[in-house]
Amino acid sequence: MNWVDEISTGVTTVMETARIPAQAVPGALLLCEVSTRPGLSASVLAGRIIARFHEADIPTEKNPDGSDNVIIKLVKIMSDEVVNCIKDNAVVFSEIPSGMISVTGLGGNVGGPITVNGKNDKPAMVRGLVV
Amino acid sequence: MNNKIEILSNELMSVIDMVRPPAQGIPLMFLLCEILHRCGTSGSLLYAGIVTKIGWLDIPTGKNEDGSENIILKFMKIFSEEVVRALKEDAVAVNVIGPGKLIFRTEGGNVGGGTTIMAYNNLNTQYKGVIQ
Repeated sequence: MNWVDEISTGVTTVMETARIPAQAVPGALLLCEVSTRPGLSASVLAGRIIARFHEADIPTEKNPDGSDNVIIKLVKIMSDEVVNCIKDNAVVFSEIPSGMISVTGLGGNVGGPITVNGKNDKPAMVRGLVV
Repeated sequence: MNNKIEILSNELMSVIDMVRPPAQGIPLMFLLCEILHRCGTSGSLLYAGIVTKIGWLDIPTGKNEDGSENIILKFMKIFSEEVVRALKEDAVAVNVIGPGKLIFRTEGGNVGGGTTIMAYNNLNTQYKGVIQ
């Protein structure tokens, strides 16, 4: 194990110890954010990665001998597979805790109208997909 | 099809696709505990994990022999950050609440007396979320 390995292992350990649990996004912000999100795209991911290649001095044009740049092809394949794997295989499990959803109901009987207020009284597990 | 490795990997993928069962639900208590402790995705953490495993495979993680920078590490840093950015900023989690999944208990009343009503959701409801 060289010093880069040791540092990366150390960083991983420190980050796992020091990171606090993710905070919930306020409902109104979440609603605005969700409605504008485009979803995952392999092309966008590959494009953004290739656009940052200059930071690492990685060439993005063809090789000097005129052959194709293999790194660009590699990025396209990796991006395709990461996005496909998430879109085709990932399952989201989320939980709705009890008391999180409020309901109001209206009805009536011979005694007159009735208004009822309540909440979900049992937690529920919900499944979803990532798109 | 270029070589035997490609044929093998394609066969392997087909077999894996056939035998993999659908994901099973996680018991609610486990799910609740796990969600409360999760920190969210992190590009740095993903990068650190990849570098650690690159080291296990004896792929060099230091500078190159001629003293130049190790491009693999720089590449993986960009890749990790962009994957996590895509998940956090582009991805949408689409969830569905099946009929009967939610149980409501409501209370009210009128001159005839109090009433307690138990109710279920009776339609599929779709909602969206983000990934942190």
